[in-house]
Amino acid sequence: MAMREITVTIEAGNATVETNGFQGKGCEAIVKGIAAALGNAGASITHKREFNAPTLAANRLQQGK
Amino acid sequence: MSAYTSLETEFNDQDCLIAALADNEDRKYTDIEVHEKAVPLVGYHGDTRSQVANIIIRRNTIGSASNDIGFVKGEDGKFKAIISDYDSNRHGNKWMTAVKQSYTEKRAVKEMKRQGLVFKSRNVVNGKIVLKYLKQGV
Repeated sequence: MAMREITVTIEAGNATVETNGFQGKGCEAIVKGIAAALGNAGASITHKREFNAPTLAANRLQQGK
Repeated sequence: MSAYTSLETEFNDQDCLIAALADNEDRKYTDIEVHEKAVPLVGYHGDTRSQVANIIIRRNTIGSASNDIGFVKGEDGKFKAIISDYDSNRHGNKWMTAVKQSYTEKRAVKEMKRQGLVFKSRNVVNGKIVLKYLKQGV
């Protein structure tokens, strides 16, 4: 089963949560949990989804063939 | 007598707050009193003040002319910082930001552990703390 990566970046007490290349209910639950914990803690949360650009590019190349 | 000022915070996890007071990039305090029921703070003359707190850094661990610093838990579960005007010079924005930075990391780690995420790495990049965790098959 694939391992998904979650990145939390903290600067001056403010946190950004990033999920790399995955989404769905499981992802939402994780991000909401972290956001609730940190939101209640006063950290502002921005939920970014960053999709895996190299993989998308590779897919396009494969489709182009 | 230096007047106390009450500062609202969003800290609501006592363990993480105590850990952040002991481990941050500015002033660290490991000798911390914790009281389930708030008790009075003490001024630098040894005078008992009207302000009360649940988490207290006693003046003798801060400086010879300092007053106690306290955090009192509100009905909403959030702590208010109580810092005297005198001590706010060394325990102002810089210190509170350092405590908040440390607190946020500890609170995030606690939450990610609760969610069963697996630690991958921790790095500090240009003053930013970058935590990476893994989740199996989301």
